[in-house]
This record gives sequence, structure tokens and C-alpha cells, in this order.
Amino acid sequence: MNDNKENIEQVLEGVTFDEAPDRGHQDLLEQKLLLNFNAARSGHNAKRRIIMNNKMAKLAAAAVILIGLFVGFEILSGTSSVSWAQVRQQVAAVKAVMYKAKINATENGQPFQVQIEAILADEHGTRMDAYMGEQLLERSFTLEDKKTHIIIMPAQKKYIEVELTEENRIENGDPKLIVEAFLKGDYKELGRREINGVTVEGIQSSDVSPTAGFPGGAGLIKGLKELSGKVTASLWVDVATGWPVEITLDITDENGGEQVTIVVSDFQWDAQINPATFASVIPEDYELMYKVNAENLEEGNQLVEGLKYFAQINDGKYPAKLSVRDVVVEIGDIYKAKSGNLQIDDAQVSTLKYGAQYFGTLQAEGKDPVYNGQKVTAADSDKVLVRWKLDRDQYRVIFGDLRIEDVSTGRLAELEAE
Amino acid sequence: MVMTADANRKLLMRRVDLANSETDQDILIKRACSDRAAFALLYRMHYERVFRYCCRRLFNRDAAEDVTSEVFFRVMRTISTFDGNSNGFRNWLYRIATNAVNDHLKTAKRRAETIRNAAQEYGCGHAFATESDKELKKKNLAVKQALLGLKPKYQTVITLRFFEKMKLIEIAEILGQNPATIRTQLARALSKLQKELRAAARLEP
Repeated sequence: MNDNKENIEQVLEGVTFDEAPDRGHQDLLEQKLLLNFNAARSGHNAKRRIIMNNKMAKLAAAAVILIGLFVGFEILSGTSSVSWAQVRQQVAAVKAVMYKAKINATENGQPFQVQIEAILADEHGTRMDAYMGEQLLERSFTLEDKKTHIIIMPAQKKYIEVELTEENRIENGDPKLIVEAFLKGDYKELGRREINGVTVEGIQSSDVSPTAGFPGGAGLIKGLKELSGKVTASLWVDVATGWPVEITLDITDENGGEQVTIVVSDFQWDAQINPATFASVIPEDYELMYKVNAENLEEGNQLVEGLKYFAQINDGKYPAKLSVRDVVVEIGDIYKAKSGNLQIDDAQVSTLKYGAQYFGTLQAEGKDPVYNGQKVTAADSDKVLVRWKLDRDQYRVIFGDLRIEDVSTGRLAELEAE
Repeated sequence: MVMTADANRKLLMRRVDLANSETDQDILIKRACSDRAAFALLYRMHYERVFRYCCRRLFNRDAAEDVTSEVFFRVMRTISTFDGNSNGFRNWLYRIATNAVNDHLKTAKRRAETIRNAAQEYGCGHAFATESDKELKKKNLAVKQALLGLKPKYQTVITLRFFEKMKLIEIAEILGQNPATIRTQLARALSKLQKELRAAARLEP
């Protein structure tokens, strides 16, 4: 027996392990922990892996930006005591509004919450602060006069500047246009209930189509729509005053696996906005991470730069699909496949995301875009990687070697036949 | 007297322990409840220990990294509930890591996957001194698979005793049991491991 015992102990002592720590994982985990530190400390359900893999958070934030514009929620008809026409009129006349929103979502079974504090003012623009726990994740401004959208990322001390086109500048934050986006929706009446002692009356819609209002964001919205198999939106209005009190949005993906619930409340209608809220938008010590230029997007240069980066980190292969969600997931997979030995260039990833977003915009605008990332690689110099329609007879083509050419419809047919 | 490499390492560790006096570490632990920088320092001090322990329980780097992440998130969420000194902190950390590994291995599917992964890493280990590489790697794998076949509580005591080189009294502190119970558990664990290894050897062609 003793011999046996000694023998097994010897065997165990001879076991070896592959256990040298990977510095990359150690650093990455440290970043994740510190990013979640405040949330964990303040007793929130700290949501690990979420910040690093924050596509859901981004989409959820985008959803809230849309929700911010839901203030023009249009009611076609109704027999309740709330005058929905009056609600519409009041909201349309509002010059400034503040609100808070809570976004609860799950990813891979892990719940997380993002809070948003928003200010929309005709005079100044829009400001959204997104928090997880007490940690400020992102602050974004849309400045009416400068025609720019600025996203500030405190963790990196960097910012992204998006130059707005005249078209999306007008769309941004204009409740009348948003109202029109909801006019087509049907709704059902929810009756009355109380919210914080206020009697409210509600309606519910499962036909919400939030496609307008986010600057340059149709692609991002598309990402959200891909996520959401079903959207159910509710609006609760103060019976006494006719002001919206709470808006909720439940988004469930097609498989019922991921869900985002957004509750918008704490409205302050026609609030007095302190101009200082919009002053010194970019802190002095922050660096520009990337500038998104409308002209670059339309020319295709943005997309080319992003695809070039992706091919560099993925052995000459392009993303299989061209949506914000898909490219983020694919870059994550590449990072994992390379066991964390890949240095992700945030600016280049942003370039690709905005390029993918623009591709989504082309789809939304009916420009007949096609992407062949699964078939065409960097080595295929004469094959069509991306194309979209410029006008009736002309298409813009990005070839496998990322050369951009404008070709006639006939020439495109030849290229694609090849 | 010629010092072995292991003895040298232990001496060095002891010096490091003395340099980082208990008082400083106790303060650091307290500060880590509310101070990000202190928490980061504490994390860096303990990452390697936790990761190695997870590797020695799971025999797979990816799984060990996942569980290490889980351990430190649990630590971050609950560090304010820890009430003890730096030595107690090490034990507390081991307890959290043990629970996280056992949670990871809870499902049969996950356990089967871990055994399969260990098999895939077959060939990556180093050889014993006296047999051929191939034979010893095979033996290494057989032991790891047999360990994964044990109940987690048995695997835990074997790992802490033989791979983490802990005394029974230290294991008892970590697992919140008395040393006599640990001694009995360890004897049972070794006996079961031996049976597993014999059964595996019989199945070999």
C-alpha cells in the first residue's frame, strides 16, 4: 500500500504543465477589470466581457440616441382621454429636453446596464453621456453650428469627429422628421397606470421603424435592426399635462437569445439649458482618433482604408460580411485566433466600422450595393469586391486590390460575368 | 551545502515576501476596495499565481484564461467583504479560484470538453527524466485525464497538495475544513486516482 502511495505521489510530482502566463491576456484582463471597477464598486451588477466586447453597448447606445428622438412619437388616432394631437403639438414645439435612459441587455448570458443622460437643445445641439455604473464610457456631441458629431472616449483620451452632411445635419434632432418616421406605425392602447405617483396613459407599438435621426447612422441602425427580431415600444403620457413621462423599448433578436430593454424617463421638457454644457467639447489633452469625412465616405476611400487594414490583419482576406456588427465580431475572432498577439489599431477599426456603416446607408438608400468579401481577396485585382450605384448608368467599383473605378452598367455586367 | 534551484526560488520568494511587508500589503488590500490603482497592483501581484493554479486544474490555457478572468471579476466584486491580512488574502483568492474552476467543470459537457482539450495538448508537455519523450507525454496525459475524471473536491486537494506544494494545514484553511478531514480526503483522492489510472491502463491496446 505504501509503495502504491509513493508511486502515485511520484507520478504526480512528475506531471508538467504548459502554464507560462501570456502577458497579452494579463494586460487585456487588467484593462477590462479597471474599466468595470467603478461599476463593481458601486454595487451594480458588473458586466464583465461586455465593455471590451462592446458592440452591444454601442448598439444599445445608438438605440437610446434614437429613443431620444422618440419624443415626437406620433399617434394617429385614439379614443382615450389623452389628447394625442395635443401631445404631438406640445412635443413638436419643444426647444429643449433633458432625459435619462437605462439600457439593460445581455450578451452570452451576462446581463449589463448602460445609463444615458441626454440633452437635446435646438440652440446648441445634442449631448449624450453614457455610463456604466459611475464610469463614463462615452460622451457624444452633435453641434448644430459646426455641423459635426464628436464622440469622446475618456478611457482612451481620444475622440472621433464625424463631419455631418447637410442632409443628416437637418435630420439630426429634428423631432418633426422623427414624427414622420413613426406616422406609419400602428399601436394599441395600454390603459392607465401610475409612474412615481403620476397617472399616465399608454400606447404600445410593435411597428416601430427607427431609421431616421441619427447622423450618418443608418448603418449603425441597420446593425441594431439585425440584432432585433422584434421591437416593442411603449409610450406613457401624463394624463394631466400631456407630456411624455416614460418610453420603453424591448428589442429581442430573432432567436430570442439576446434582448435589449431601454427605459427612457426623467424628462424635463423645455428645460433651461446651461450653454456651458456644450462648451469646451473636446478636452485639451485628448487626441483625434479618427475623422469621418462625408466626401471620403462617398468616394469609397473610407471603406478602402478599412478593408485594407482588415486584409492586413487577416492574411489578405476581407470580412465575410460588411456590417458594423459583423466586422467587429470578425476582428474579435481574428484577435482570438492569434492568441491575443495582434495589436488592434482602434483608429483603423473605426475606419472600417464607419465604412461598413456607409455600406449599410447605401443599402437603405437603394443604391444597389453588393459586397463579395467571401469570394474576393486582396490577390483578385480584377474582381469586384464592392460596388454601388452612382446614378442610372454608372456604378462605383472597389476591386480586390482596392482600386476604385467608376464604370458603366454594361462594363459592370462584364466584370461580374467574369 | 549546495542549494537546489527550488530552494533558491523559495529563498527568493521569502525575501520578496519580507520586502513586501504584511502591513503594506494589508493596506494595499484595503485600498483596493476603492482605489483602481491599488486594485491593479494587487491584480498584477496575484495574476500569475491564479493563472498557474487554473492551468494545473484545467490543463488547458484557454480555459485557464477564462476562469482566471472570472476569478478576478469575482474578487473585484467582493473584495470589500474580505476582512483579513495578506496571508488570508492568498487563501481567499485560492478559495475563489477553486470555486470558479469547480463551477467551470460542473457540467458533464464542459468536463468532457476539458478532457478532450487536454488530449489535444498531448505532446506539448515536457518529458520526465528517465523515459522517452513520447512515453512520458502519454503518461502525463493519462494522469491529467484521470484527474479530470475525479470529483472536483478530490482534484482540488491533489492539486493544492502536489502541484501547489501546500501543507495540509494550508489546504484546510483554504477549503474551510480541518486538517484531519483534508488528510482523509487526500488519501481517498489518491486511491481513486490510482484506480482511474489502472482502469485507463487496462483499456490501452
